Amino acid sequence: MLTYYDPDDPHAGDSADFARFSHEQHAKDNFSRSGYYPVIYDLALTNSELLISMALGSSQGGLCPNQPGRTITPVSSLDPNDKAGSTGIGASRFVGVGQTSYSVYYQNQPTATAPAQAVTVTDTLNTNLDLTSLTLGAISFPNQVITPPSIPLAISPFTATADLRPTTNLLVKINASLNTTTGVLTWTFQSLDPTTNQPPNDPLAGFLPPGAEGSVFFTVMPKSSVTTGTVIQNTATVTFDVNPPINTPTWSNTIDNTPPVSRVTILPTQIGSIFTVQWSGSDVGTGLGTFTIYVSDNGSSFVPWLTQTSATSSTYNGQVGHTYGFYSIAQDLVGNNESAKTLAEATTQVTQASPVPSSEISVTASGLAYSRVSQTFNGSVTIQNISSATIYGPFEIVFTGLPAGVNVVNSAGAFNGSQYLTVPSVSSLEPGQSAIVSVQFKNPSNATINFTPVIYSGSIH
Amino acid sequence: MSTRWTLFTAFLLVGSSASAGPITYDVTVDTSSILSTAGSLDFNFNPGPLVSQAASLQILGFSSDGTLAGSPAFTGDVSGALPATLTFDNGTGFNDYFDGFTFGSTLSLQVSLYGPALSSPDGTSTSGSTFAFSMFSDAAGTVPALTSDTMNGFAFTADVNLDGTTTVANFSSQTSVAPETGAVPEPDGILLLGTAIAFGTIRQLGRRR
Repeated sequence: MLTYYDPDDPHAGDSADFARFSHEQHAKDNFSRSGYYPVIYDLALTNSELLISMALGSSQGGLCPNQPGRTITPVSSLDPNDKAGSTGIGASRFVGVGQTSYSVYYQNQPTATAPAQAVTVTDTLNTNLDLTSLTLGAISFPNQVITPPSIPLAISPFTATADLRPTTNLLVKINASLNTTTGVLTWTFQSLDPTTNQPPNDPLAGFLPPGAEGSVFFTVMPKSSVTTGTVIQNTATVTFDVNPPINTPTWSNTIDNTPPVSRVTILPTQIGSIFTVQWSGSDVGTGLGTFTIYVSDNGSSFVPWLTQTSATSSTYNGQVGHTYGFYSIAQDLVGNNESAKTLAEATTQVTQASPVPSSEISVTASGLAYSRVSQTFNGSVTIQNISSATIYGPFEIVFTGLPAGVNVVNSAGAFNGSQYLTVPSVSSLEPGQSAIVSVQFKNPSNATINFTPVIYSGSIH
Repeated sequence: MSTRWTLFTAFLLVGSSASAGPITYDVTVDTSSILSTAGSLDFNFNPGPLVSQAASLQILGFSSDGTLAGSPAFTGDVSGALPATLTFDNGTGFNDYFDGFTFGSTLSLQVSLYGPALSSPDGTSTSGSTFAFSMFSDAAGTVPALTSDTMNGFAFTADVNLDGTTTVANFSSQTSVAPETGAVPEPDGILLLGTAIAFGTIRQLGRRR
């Protein structure tokens, strides 16, 4: 049935008038029609010559034989639309095999001349998606948000009716269904006259006025068998009234279904009470996200030490005499978790510090340069393993016998009444290997600085 | 056996002259960025905190279009006065020379390191000695100039190592520190190597006769 709207007609907007037009036209109409729809016509009769101007490409032609010589402004809804999905990670929009979200947006173009009475959204789902996991999200259009139950749509279709009164004298019937055979997901929105419960005769009566928007939302999970790198594309189609269907842009995501791997770096067998634990990992797909580091103290069950940290090292405060084991569980940027572990990847024991005999380790020093700026004497101390065996750290240099008034500015503390420095980042010294540490002395009286160094291995904390 | 002796002699000559021994550095500083600044200069040469072998240092050939204040402060075993030669010994713990200086556009000097610690390291000492040169943009010597070492303000340091070698750390992009050409040991070393090889060869030939 074809309807016309004549702005010069004093009965314009009168649904009965439209119904009449429609009825009269019905028999003469040359065009195929399947229902009520507002369509734009610009037509004028000049003498016997009929001029028809098609205002829109989506319109179909027609004329109003009962109103010769008058200009009739046909009306129509228009459909710009959009598609959005999970933004994922990176340019490829990586997602895991967890829930993926999609939205379809439709709008009646502000320049449209009539509201949309009926809107149909269809979405043919990618075969890599698990249709049984699909659930609907919010369905919205002006002043209405309908939230379907969070149950898989494959179990039962969704139906609802929105009452737009009193703002608009319409009902909107909403149906959503999923054909699990074809993978086609469909929403339909049909404006209804509350009186007749039928589509309104008034072509200017529709639930989506010009400029108004609506949207549908759904979530679905990729099949667990989908391999990393698989691209899942999604395109919806939106149809306004009897206008031709319009495709939305295509939304693409790439699947990352590969868990990352990681491990804690091997620790020296003996270590000081404050020691550094390091870990690393790798991932195919999106890349590493975070690590959870587990620790076991003296053989007890592993418990999280650091949870979902992006750091790759941290300082652990242990206790002398305790043995610690560590392992790491990585998570990639889309949430894939590394497989669980039960065994330590690195184990160490915190040992009590003891002095290293001078026959095993040598101590030398540079000269001391005086700084007028910091008013300190600056140099370095070098320790070298002169034994034939590995000496395990950490190493502390204890400055015994410093002259009165001389202080080690960068001291780590005092041990048995003497200041000491910890040699940083050296967990052990192989035979012949050396390590160097900077030292700054405060020496207000400019006395000759000397001391007897004693090297400790292990923790003196 | 005599070939081995020849090679051993050559190795010793090259090794002893290539990296250790007295050395003089030519130092040139572009001070144009602080031209006319009434600042100061500091030189110190000190032993380490353990056992240091005797070493000395001289500042020679001081030349600049800037102006020395002429009232230096001495600490420790330092003698002389700029622009004439300064001599430092590491016999005391703190040996320092500090003088006011109005900077010109350039400054040059030579730093000569010598003494037993460089020419004949004893192998038993446990500390080296270190020379430090600093420039300041204030007369009190508290605001470092022409250096990236904002912590200590050193323009450059030169360490006398336990094996008689020296190590320079330069923190100033305006400062050039280069071993004096005449003192670069490599050519002498090559000459000595040749001499040693010739000597060894002659000795071998003599024995064959």
